[in-house]
Amino acid sequence: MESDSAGSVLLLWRRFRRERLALVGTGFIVLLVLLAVFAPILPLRDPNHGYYELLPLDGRPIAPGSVFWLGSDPNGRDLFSRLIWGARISLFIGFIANGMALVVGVIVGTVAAYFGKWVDMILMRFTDVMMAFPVLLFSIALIAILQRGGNVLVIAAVIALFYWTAVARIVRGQVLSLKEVEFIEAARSSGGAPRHILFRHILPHLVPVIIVYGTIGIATSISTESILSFIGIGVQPPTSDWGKMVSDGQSYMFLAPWLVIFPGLMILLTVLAFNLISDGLRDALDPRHRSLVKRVVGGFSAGGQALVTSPRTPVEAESA
Amino acid sequence: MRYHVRSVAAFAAGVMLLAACGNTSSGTSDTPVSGGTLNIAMKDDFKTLDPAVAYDTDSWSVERAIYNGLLDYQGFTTQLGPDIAAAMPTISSDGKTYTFTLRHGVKFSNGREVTADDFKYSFERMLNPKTQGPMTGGPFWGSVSGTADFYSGKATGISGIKVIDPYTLEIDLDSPNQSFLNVLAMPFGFVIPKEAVTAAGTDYAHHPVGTGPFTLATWTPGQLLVLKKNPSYFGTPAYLNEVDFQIGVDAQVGFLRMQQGQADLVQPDINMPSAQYIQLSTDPTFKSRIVKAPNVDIWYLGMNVNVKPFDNKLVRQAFNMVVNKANQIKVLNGRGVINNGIQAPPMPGFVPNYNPLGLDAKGQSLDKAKALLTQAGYGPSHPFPAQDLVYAKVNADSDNLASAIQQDFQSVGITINLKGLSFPAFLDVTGKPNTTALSYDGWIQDFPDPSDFIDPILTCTAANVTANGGNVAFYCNKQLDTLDDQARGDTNSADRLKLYQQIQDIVAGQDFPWVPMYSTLETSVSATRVHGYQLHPVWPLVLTSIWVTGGK
Repeated sequence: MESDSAGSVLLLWRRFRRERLALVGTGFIVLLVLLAVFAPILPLRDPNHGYYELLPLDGRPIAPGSVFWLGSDPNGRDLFSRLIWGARISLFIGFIANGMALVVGVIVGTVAAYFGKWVDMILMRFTDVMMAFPVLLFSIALIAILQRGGNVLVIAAVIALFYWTAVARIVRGQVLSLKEVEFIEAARSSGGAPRHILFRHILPHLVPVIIVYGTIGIATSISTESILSFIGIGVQPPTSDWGKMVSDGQSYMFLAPWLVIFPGLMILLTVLAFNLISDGLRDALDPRHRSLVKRVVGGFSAGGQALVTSPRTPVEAESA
Repeated sequence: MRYHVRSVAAFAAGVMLLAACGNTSSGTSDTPVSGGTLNIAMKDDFKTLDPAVAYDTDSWSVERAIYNGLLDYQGFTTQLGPDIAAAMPTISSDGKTYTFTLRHGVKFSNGREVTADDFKYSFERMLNPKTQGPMTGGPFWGSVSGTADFYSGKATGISGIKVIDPYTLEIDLDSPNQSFLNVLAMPFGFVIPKEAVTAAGTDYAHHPVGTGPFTLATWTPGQLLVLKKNPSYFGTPAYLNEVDFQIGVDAQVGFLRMQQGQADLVQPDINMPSAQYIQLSTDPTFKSRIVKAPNVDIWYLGMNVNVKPFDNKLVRQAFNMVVNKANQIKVLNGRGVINNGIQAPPMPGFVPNYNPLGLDAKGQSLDKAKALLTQAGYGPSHPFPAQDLVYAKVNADSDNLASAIQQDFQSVGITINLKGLSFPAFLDVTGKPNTTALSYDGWIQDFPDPSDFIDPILTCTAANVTANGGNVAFYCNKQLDTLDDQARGDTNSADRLKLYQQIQDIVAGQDFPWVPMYSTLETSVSATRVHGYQLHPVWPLVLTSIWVTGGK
């Protein structure tokens, strides 16, 4: 990694923009973030207002068309507007949950690897224990105990509680190998304090891993959040988010398929986009390895669970 | 019946346009054939088949096939007639003594003949506090002489229930009760044999023995319950040889199975969910197979009169002018009619187009509501506190109905937070005093008499119940109770109905413990091989009229 950070960012961008799929993914996410951020000032209908007067007498949801671009739900609410507002929640939880997981994971992984011995032993065994929990079951129990089903921060924290473990393992692996590199030994032998070595010499080398894993982690967090909402312990009505929209729409699958298709598509595209970006970043950061679309798709369909449970993820294997 | 499985799911319910809505039976003119198996998809397992305990429509659907009582409704009407009784009882001139003569030769499925002793045993067991049934201490059986001493343990039996001879039973009341015959026809009045209870130990709930057209063959909890035709049934035998209740099938899957010929009925005791109703009512095969009948229910917002801010009558009156009842009905696909009172059509004495507050066609009067809130002291400087709306969450329809209410109150500046709970949790928090301020409730008739919409849900006696009570507003008005007592004993039916209308005026036009909203139309559908399936005005499911052709 170059010492000139502006130069390295430029170099990264030059390599990254060769990754077509990753660029498409980036474009999609940027657009989505802009829409989500500016939702309150965009000319959208109130996502929670039911236009009952527009519904036919039998209460059938309105099909996509000139009245509602993407149709309405059985309460006469605008699906398009609900999707955009739902993006706010899904993205917010995705970023926050993943941010928390990264912070905890990096700290635990670095400390365990750098100090080794019993510190490593205790921290990594604890990590193993956390990994052994069935994520969904435990999330449901936790949210039920906290009685905070509708609170987005609580949901994000619960998701983070399980996903920091994967980050911790990967970071530990990185630090373990870095520890043996000459320049770290040089820093240590010239009397560098642990804090100095960690922050000035080790952490900068972790950046590529953190960036790549962080991007995949967002995708994982978003799909987990959708699952929690789908089974009814995520956000509470009338707030809209994608998982809950799919859940509410499922009984209308044959009658009003748009209620399931559009939010389902949003989850799919968003998660796919983050995976593409992450794949592109990995290649840009480490040009020796070429991306395989197969790998992206594999990572996507396996979701977070496989990444969490498999100690040899592509990221770790390649960066180590 | 308060909100049980039926009412809960009747969230997905809807109404009334009465006969105008069309047929209440789906059958053809073919001659009935005997034999075959009927497959019914159910979501939840049955809680119990002990008639002393069960108070939900799932259980009643099966109990009605296994047991009999003294009286029953004739055919698919609300007209009472004799069942195990040989004829209607003779009632003394003071209206307090009922004498029943029993049929000879009615046998339990274990082969023993039913006698008057079995009824005395069944009634006393049902009311015994040890049985922990819902009738104990309640209003329905309260007028039977000697129940108070029996409840308190002073007496070992109920003095008002007398066995004169093996075929003659006398029941004495402390005061006349015009709905007592209806009470006797409820499943709590079913007869069971003592030896079966003894043999089952503590688990009679899973080992029922009765006199009905079917007997329980097997019951694998959570999976399958099988009824077989009872060869020794004293009445007209059923057409079906067997009825299989497949448990654990949710509505969505159930209706798909029905369309593919793998199920004949899907949760027949509850209303069809909105999505399936709309879908099947345009399906060429099934649209003519949808049967409809008034549910005889009332859906309302209960406001706890002991909890702020609903202790203020002006607030309760204002709330009565806010809900857009037309929207609620739209969410229910038009399967309902606006109801501003406390009685449901077609209950005797029901007042059509009742509108004591002069609400508009949607059931609102927003300007007046705002004025009342101002009068109650709320305004920009003292905003109305946000309220939780507690409701039972059974499917997407529940959330949709509650969301519509939330929007209505937003228009008068009141914030409503939605609090959807599981059904048992909902019953728990709304049935306890001073626990829930505002809830989305429903009441479905137990029997076709207007007293059923007052005694258990609007009287002081009902307000004193401390757990699982039906009076969710904990409303108590002595004047109303006096009128109710008077009506219970009034033998002139026209005068009696007038008294019930007076009570309705007190509740819906003066005290406002509820925001009455709508009554629903029950809809159900059957597979093409099913014939003679009809909705009963009282019973959640009647199996004896059904026959099947083809299939297994």
